[in-house]
Amino acid sequence: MKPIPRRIILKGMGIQFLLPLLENFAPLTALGENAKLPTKRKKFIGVYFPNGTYIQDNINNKNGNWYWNQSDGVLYPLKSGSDAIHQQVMILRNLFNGQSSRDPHWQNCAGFLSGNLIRLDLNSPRCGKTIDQYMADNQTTPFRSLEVGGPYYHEHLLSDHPNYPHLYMNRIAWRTDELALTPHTDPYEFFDYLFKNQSNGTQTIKYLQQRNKSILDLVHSQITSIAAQTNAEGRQALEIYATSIREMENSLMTQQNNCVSPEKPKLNYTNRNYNYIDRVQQLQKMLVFALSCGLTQIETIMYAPAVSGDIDYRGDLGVGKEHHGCAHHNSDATSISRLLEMNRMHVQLLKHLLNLLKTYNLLDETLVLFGTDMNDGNLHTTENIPTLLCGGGSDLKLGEDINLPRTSYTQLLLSLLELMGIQKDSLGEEETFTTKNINQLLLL
Amino acid sequence: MSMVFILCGCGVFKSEKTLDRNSVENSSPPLTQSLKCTSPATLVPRLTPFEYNSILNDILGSERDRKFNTQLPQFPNLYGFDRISSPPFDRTSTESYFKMAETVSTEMINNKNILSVCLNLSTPTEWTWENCGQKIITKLGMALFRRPIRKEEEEVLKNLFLNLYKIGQTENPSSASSGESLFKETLKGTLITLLMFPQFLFKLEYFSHIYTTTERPYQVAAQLSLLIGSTFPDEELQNLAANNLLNQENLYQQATRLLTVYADRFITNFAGQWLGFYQNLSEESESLSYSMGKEAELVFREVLLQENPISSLLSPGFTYVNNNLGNHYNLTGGSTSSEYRKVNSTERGGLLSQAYYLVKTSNALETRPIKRGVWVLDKILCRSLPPLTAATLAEIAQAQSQIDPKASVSERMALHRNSGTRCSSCHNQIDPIGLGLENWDYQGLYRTHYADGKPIISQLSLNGHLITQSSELVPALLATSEFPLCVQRKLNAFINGLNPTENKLCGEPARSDQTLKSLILNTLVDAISNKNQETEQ
Repeated sequence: MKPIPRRIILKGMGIQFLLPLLENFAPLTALGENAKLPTKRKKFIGVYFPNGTYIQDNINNKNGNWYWNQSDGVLYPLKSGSDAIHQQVMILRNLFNGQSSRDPHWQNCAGFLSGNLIRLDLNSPRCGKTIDQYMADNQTTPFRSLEVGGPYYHEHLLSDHPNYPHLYMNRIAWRTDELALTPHTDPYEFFDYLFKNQSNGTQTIKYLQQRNKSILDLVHSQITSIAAQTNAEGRQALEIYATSIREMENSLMTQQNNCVSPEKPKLNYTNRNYNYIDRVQQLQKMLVFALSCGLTQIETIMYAPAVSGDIDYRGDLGVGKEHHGCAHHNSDATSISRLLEMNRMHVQLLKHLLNLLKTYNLLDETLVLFGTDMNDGNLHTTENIPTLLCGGGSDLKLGEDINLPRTSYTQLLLSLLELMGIQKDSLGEEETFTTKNINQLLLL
Repeated sequence: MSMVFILCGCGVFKSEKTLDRNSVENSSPPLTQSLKCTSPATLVPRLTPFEYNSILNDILGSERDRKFNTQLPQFPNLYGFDRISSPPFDRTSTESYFKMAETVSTEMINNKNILSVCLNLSTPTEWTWENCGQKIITKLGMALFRRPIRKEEEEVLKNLFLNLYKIGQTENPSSASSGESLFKETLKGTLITLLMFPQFLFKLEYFSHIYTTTERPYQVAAQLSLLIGSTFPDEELQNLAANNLLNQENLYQQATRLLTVYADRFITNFAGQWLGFYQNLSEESESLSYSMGKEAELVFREVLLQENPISSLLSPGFTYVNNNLGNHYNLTGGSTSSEYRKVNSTERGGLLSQAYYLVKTSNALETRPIKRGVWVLDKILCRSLPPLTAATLAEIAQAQSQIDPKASVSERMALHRNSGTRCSSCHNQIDPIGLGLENWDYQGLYRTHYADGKPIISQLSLNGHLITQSSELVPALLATSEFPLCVQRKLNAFINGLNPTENKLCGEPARSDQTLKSLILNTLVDAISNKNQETEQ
């Protein structure tokens, strides 16, 4: 029997009933503890870039410019140079991800890794738990997952999207339907987050660990005590806080041991439009380093927030129109040319990430999804969403250009869960709901 | 009078009466329901970064530029305001707060005001929990928790202090030897804890279950203080709470007093978010851009504090400029220094004639009539436009492909309006305003012709008024009650979490001749009184 989508059940219910219900809702928690995990594939990185790409002849063009065999193509950087990496990449065509009633800028950013629908009728944002977080559930690493992102929080200030919270444009990792994870955007801050206390001596580290444990213990007990005095809504907010305190506490003792930090970043990252490439490369270096020394197994990267109406990358690409303005090019040659430059820059950053994984000998065990929120940023079309699957082992059809039958994007997400050894019956809801995966089309 | 209960996304509201307001046209709601609003039934709201910063600045003393909020994760907005949102804590944001608590507590243990009880002791060896630690925690607890610290809270903090003292003695290589440094290090750990307590980081004053009967007056005082000053109750308010004297009359008096004391904060927090000048005030103070944001702030301040009518936000009859902005406007009689001075002007100072808003709704070298129209619909009239769907974008693209690049702005806008029902439903509202504002160029300077010599043409009607130039917009906007009601709706969004594009209002509908101050005070005090009555019931 087809499981009933959670939204249908939750629709008529108060939020106070939500948590206990989710706990007992079988399809959500059937995470396959007994599932067979492929021998090497155990790490995952989800990479998002905004605004789709330039599609030459518009709607329903199945091939567009999403190829690597011609030098003017967006993907050509993957194939060029001595560090060409296209043999570790597959192109997936014909994935569709359209929800007619929701703007894909918001919907397909927040739902990039869940396929769930953004909610527009609540006074706090809600989308859906994402596949990276299902993968992170059973991890025992110091960080259950790491999230990094482009250099700013995008806010859409005009009223042409009433009831669309900004959060939907700025988060791709959702720990629960309500809890979107905050990405680190500043390399300095991320360095401290990962490698804090490393400049202290062993004795000081030991002291701070003990001190912080006492502090966090008391904070945790106060949260529990206050939560007991509130109703279900209050408990929900406070329990989420308590969980984050517990996570900090659990990692206190394990965080430092085997990791000698890489070099601290050097440039100035205060202006979002300058040192963008270096910023992302620094974040990626730390992410790959974190994978290599077991700080985490699961990561996500937002190259920039959805819409990205305030970023023009002038430090790297010269002064010109911002990203969203280029995406809505209206056939203006200058805008198209700049949009292509931005797309190629993001592909170059993907190449940097893949080559880092290769250097650390992690590419076979790390599955990388590279995708976006729409096909053509000029018209918001959602057929043939540009999507790549990279690394992850020799049993995948890497190096190929795969023309899928018209396939729901949620099916790909369900497949990725299975490829990572997690059995789940379904993903998505309403029009995105699916119980099918496309593994047989991805595996050799 | 029969009471009608209405369930909406923001909680339960008791409708006292329903008003027929057919004068409001287009997408603005034809009916306005006047409600007795309670505070939002959302998750427990969290202290916003702005409030966090204000409280800590007030504790640490007179320095004004400590920006503790800049390193905290940004809050999602609810209808344009962050005040009652409750973003869940993930580990990254929790770690940011922990790091900030370390920074703040380091500053606190070196702050003479906070340490004064210890500094009065004759030797640092007397710096103990009993002698001064307890007093510091009690005082800071009142400020951080916005109510007196409870006995059991004090007890657990004392135990923590003693535990940290012991850990410091045995484990800390840098502070074990000296009484003063060991005390300070121990105090620092205790303060980090206090700064991570949910009693500080969550606004529990919106959650009556948590307050005991004797604490209720502090709950009311804290709500008022947070709403107006983004901070904890000051001494006068604390005394009234301690003596349970916060009745309706005192509440109104205190609200009036606090609105003067904390005018800057209230204006930044409410108007700065509503109208968007909050961000500009973080720029370099010498820049023209900063001066424009400052003009917006100062005009709002004067209208509020001098008890001017709501309508004067659109046409105050004066503005504020420094030499920088005065030169830009070519305004005579303005300031010749970096100080801001009031200048009488019938042309400048209104929300539709201040450079800040005119520049914000333009591109680098040209005006954006559509953006300006949408801005006014959102900020001034509280109207919402439908989201841009794929079908609408296709209709727009189709229209754009037919546009002659040499066509004038008004011709291009006409083509938009006449390109299909999706386009026209929005452009009929946007264009009279966007074109009407074309007399103001992308720098906010007045013009009658474009740079290429073509005249500015505006021939559309708004609220039955023909708009041929920008000065005709204000009377047209004030011809209905849409603007004062919108100000009230924005206040309701800020205070009660109501969606300003919906037809719900808290309290009596605002009038354009009513003073802005009275509207704000009534709305603030009503929200708090209603909540208080609800708790008592």
